[in-house]
Amino acid sequence: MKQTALSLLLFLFCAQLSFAQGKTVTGVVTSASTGTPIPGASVMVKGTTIGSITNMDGFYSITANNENDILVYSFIGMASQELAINQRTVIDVALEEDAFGLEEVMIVAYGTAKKASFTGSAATVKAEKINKIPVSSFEKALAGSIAGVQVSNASGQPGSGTEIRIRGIGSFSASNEPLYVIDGVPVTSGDIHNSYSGAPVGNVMSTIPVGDIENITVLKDAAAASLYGSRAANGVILITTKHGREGVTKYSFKSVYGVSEFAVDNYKTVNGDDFLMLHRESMENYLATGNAPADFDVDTTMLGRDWVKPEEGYTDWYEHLFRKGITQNAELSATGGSEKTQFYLSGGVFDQEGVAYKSGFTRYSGRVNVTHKMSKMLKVGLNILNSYTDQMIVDAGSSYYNPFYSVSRNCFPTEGPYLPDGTYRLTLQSGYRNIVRERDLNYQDAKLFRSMNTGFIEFKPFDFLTFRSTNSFDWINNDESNYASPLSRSGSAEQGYIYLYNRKRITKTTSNLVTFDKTFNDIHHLNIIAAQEAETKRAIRFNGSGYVLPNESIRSIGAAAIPHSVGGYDDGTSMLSFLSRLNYDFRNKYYVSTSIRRDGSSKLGIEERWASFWSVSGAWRLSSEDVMQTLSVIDDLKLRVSYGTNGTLPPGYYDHLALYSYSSTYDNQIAASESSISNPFLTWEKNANLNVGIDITLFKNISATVEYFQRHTRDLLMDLYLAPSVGAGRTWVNIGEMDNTGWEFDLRTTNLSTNDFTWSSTFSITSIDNKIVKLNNNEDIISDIYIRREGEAYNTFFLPLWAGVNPANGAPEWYVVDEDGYKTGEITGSYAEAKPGVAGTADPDFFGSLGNNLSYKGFNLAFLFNFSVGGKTWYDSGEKSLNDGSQVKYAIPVSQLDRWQKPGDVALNPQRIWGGNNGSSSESSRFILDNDYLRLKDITLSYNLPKSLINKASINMITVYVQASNYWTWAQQDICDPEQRVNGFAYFEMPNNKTLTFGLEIGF
Amino acid sequence: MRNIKYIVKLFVITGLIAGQSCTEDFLDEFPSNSQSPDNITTIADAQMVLNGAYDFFQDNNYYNCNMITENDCRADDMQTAEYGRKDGIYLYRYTASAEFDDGTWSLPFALIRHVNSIFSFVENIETINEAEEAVALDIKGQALAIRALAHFDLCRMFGRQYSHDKGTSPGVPVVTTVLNPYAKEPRNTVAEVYAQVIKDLDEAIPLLSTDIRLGKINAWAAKTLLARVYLYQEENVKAYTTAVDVYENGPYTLMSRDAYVDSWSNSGGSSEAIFSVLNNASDYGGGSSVAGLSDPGGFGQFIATQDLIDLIRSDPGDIRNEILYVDQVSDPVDPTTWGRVLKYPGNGNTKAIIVANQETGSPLATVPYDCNVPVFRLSEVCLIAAEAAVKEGEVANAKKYLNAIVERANPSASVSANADVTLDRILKERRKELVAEGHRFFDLVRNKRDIVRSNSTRIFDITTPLTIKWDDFRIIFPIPKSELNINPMVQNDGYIGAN
Repeated sequence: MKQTALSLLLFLFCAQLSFAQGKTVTGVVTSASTGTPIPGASVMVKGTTIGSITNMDGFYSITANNENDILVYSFIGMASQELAINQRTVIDVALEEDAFGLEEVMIVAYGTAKKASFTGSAATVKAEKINKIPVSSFEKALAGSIAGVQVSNASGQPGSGTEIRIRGIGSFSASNEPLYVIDGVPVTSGDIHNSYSGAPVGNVMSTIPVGDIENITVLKDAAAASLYGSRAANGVILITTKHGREGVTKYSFKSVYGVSEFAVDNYKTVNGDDFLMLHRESMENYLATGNAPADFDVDTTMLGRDWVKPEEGYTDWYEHLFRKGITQNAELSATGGSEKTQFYLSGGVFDQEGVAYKSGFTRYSGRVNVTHKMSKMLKVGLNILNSYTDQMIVDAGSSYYNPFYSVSRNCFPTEGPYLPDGTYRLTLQSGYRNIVRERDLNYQDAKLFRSMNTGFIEFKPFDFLTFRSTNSFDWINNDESNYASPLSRSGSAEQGYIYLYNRKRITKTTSNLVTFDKTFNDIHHLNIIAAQEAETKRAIRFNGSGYVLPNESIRSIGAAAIPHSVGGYDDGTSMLSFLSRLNYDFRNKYYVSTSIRRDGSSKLGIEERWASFWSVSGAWRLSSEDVMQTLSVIDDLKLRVSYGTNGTLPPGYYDHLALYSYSSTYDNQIAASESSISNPFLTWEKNANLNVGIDITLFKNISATVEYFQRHTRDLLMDLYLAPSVGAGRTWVNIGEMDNTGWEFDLRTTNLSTNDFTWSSTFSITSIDNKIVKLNNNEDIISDIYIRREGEAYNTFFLPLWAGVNPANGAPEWYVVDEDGYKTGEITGSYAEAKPGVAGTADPDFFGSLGNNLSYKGFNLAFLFNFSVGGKTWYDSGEKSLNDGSQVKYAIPVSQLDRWQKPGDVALNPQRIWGGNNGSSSESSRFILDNDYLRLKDITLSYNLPKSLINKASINMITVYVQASNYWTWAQQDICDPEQRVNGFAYFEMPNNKTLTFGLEIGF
Repeated sequence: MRNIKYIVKLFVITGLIAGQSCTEDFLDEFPSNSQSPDNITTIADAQMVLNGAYDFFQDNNYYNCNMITENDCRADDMQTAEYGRKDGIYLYRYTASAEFDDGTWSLPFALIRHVNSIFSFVENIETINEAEEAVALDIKGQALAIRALAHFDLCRMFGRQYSHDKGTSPGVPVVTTVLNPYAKEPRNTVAEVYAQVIKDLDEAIPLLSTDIRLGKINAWAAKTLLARVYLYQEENVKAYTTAVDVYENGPYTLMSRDAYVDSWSNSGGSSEAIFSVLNNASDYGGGSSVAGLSDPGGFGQFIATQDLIDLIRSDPGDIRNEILYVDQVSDPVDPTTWGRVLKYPGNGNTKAIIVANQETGSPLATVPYDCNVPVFRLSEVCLIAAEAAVKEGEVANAKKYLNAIVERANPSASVSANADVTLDRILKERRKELVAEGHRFFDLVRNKRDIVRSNSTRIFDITTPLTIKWDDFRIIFPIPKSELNINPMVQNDGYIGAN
């Protein structure tokens, strides 16, 4: 009823606009594949502003100017059609599926573009691909989907972040993360918590529910990203949230239940019997060397350390520290509106238990996205997100309170966390504190509230001219607390402590954009934009701590007897920008685009505060050329080239200033000390990108993209270590150049498509060669276990080179290297002679994904494999854990079982000797692991209940599904999860999870 | 018409927003807790910068831990109890790249840089009267004395003792200006470092105030340091006269026997404390400080060896028995049996309170790390005088200053026979008095005596070296890899480059 009235109004409206008594056409628009009508499809009279929308039944009515007008029919995901009226009064149209999305409108920098005409390199990910994976933030679901993009989920802790690298590592010391833009506004990303040991666990993106996201565009090259200028060197990820549409309000309810555990065994340690056996063996071998003191006795030593099988049996510490974590998610959303006002509302609760006890993440969120047409020319809109997250945190890294660290290092099977009488054991045999007791008594949590508000006013006086002002206010408030009970070991010295931190991030932006878009004579299409932007960010912190708490139940800072410290800061940064872009295309065949942006930032030195970024790109649709029409197998062939510049800012707000800091005290008086050396020439890192790509569609069913890119970065920001004798620590300077060169291949095929059954596949593979081109004075920089050297990749390992175990005597051996760190061919048994050498790089030779999607009637099966070949990982714990008997306070890894025992043995580990075997566990490439892997990242089986069944209940859709993430992994190493940090440093992050999920979606 | 109104509103709003951001200083942002050094213009400002220098002393890489523990653990009176802290030091396993905390090297240099910047601030201050001028000079004097101390400490840890070869072997770079960030200073000889140290102290002493100020350096502290430097240099006559000057003319007196034990837990210091690093409840070195490492309830790994305990126990009347909390060193896994020296108990934690806390769980008065760390005190001055005198054959003088310490500890144990006043006797007294204050290692090595750890010392690692000769290469710490990677200095003998 409402619909017909609406259509009538529309009809009248259209009639009002027409200049003369024109030609009225009606008809029904349906989907060619299913035959069902398409509501909301657009019908336009070409070259005018006359338009109409189909109603619920697919019916439209439009009045054109005259009989020779052309009507354009389009709908998202469908191939548009243009039909001349040709004296007809009824035109029914069946729109074909736009299988490869060529007609699709992509969200790109400062506007939209049709995939078919886009000159840059960008990839889109639609909501359906990621919204079934129960992750706390959307980047975790991107793994493997996009060529050129490396997504590394180094931590499995709920609420944690992900490292994303678009086309390699562009920076030494500044951020390598891409810029995130939500609904046109660049936003804060990354870790928002106080720094705990290990990988960041406070990912601010986890405030945004995945269900709110409509689609994601990843901008990879200069043509796509340069418009974001000084922050776009590492690529840009554009996120668009859902919006309303005209029509009956559609509701969607989603409910998810999932179970998680560690995806693979990580740093597994031996069981009780093997533990005792290995220690015995090392002691017996020690006696056999003749170096043992006269009174050394194996049994006495074992007994003295309580290394016997306990009466109650051995302990499996995993049971006490880890569990199957449950994830639950419930979301309700509504989409609807009238012709003037359209809305999208959503509310949801997401709760994820961590696999480690006492870790977890809960989020409550609500969103309102509204647009309203105030008049024919004026539109306003508001997107509001309010999100509250509550996170229980366990330490990561080498903190003693990290359960994963403890279970791999300090917990022996010969004792458990409880004494026979049931009370807590205080100290473990390894000498460390009882992690179970510490965990039970203490806690760490973070409560974050975010209000992200974006409003726009759009004024469109003519159809070719639009003014849009977008203004945003983003308020993030994070309250963390860290509590230790007076009874616990960690809180004993202070008799209980509580630390409170409040952090705020307040970002205000304005962006004022004018767009001119016109087609002349149906041949020349021109699109010009110009904009001015300003942004201010404030980072505010207030913290306090108190010591001496009355008992273990009162955990408030107000009850602390000693107010220990108070601190805080209120710092800010700002940016001012001007940008412009021109797109021109001729007959949809030749495309040219050029852009320029000028940014000024408060983070830069006075002398280098402003810089310009530009790009030039072009594309040639070869398939539109007449000569190509004969090759009918080729549906679409486009060649594109782009070149341009963008940049990266220094990470700190004030790195260019000379500063004395007043935050310290001595004897309750203020103490000032130098905190920063002046560098007025501190400037951007400059990134020049070349991209060449070919997009081709063949046989209507095969679509492929091949791209070659070169990313050259110079003026790289280095946090340069100065000689300690200078006394200044480090300073930021712009030196150095780096290249990332590579290619991407992306293939999408529809293998089989019948009425009932379709089968499509995707395959992508990327290879990136990262190389340092220039360093300060060509001097190598040795940074921990890495070497930065001209001609080598950034993440090149530099360690003494392990040569294995001598089969004759079980002793460790290393390679001798020359001055530059390359093997000479000699082998030595003395660690002192083993100088560090080049030991491979962390970067994979290539990586990619393979996916398949099958559907039969209502069933759908989708699975995605990720793979990576050639990368290496540094197993940092190896130095302590693979000690072959030299240490008594660490648990023994399973890999130590493969050890030399008699002459002739070829073994992974040297002979075990109590006290150590010639420094075998000294830092060397022994702990570099080859990290090739193949992982079943995602497999989903879903079933859409037939419409006939559910329509009776006025329900549009019911989908039930089962989904599994990371459920099968093959990795060349069996030490740890193959997904580690991009720099290959495997530390003690909470390992990655595999998750089994059951989900239900109802649309009504 | 309505549209025009909207258009105007739109432009006005946009213009306002745009205009606001177009002011010149929109892009000038300054931090909230820091300022440009150009703002350091008054005496009060210079005083804050000087406080920043003292703040360095509180760093665990310097006097709040490493300067004491990393040297004491290499000798025969103190040790680490187990793996985890300072075990690489105790076991002499350190190399340029492993088992060695390069903060021990880098922090004193950061301190040197900091004090070097003070000189230019002081010169630029406009003083209004004589009193202010004196304060400005006093600030300069403190900066000079601190610079001398930092150079001296670096040199005795990373260079060969002066007495071994008259200071001809490599020492550390002498840094008297704020260096260019890319500077790569070479090492000066030990003799050159000593010459600079003495020069700085000679210049500082007349400028410094002679008032008592526990947490900061005064003329007496500078003189104590000078006496110590002369002693290390074997300039015994100068060492003697300087030490006696402090003892006889300074405002300090040795603390009494009765006050001895609990004076260590008094944040106000004692009558003999000349310069101590002050820690308080909100500003201290934390669990890894020497106080935290001495705390039975904390990490507690810095413990006395059985040898030291036996030595002190050999005279039951010696008051210093009371500052040993437990007098046996036994079970490695049971921390309650480890012998501790209660020189860092925490403000207000008298021995009685500590005993009660350990035995019945009653609360401590404060966090243990809230504890002063002595750098110069009068007892050391006496012992410097005694040692210098005995080396010059001045037995009567040596006996006088030796007995000042001996009789304070046990009135009936004074040394009477001249023949008993030997270097060994004085070194033994030094050992008992200055245990756990970072002296013992240097006292042995500069006197060319081997370090001998007997088997009764409970060793927790079978590879513990028991005898370390005074000229073993490991007596000197290696120049750390972090320096050699950037600045190709000469590495100390025995260590292989940056390995």
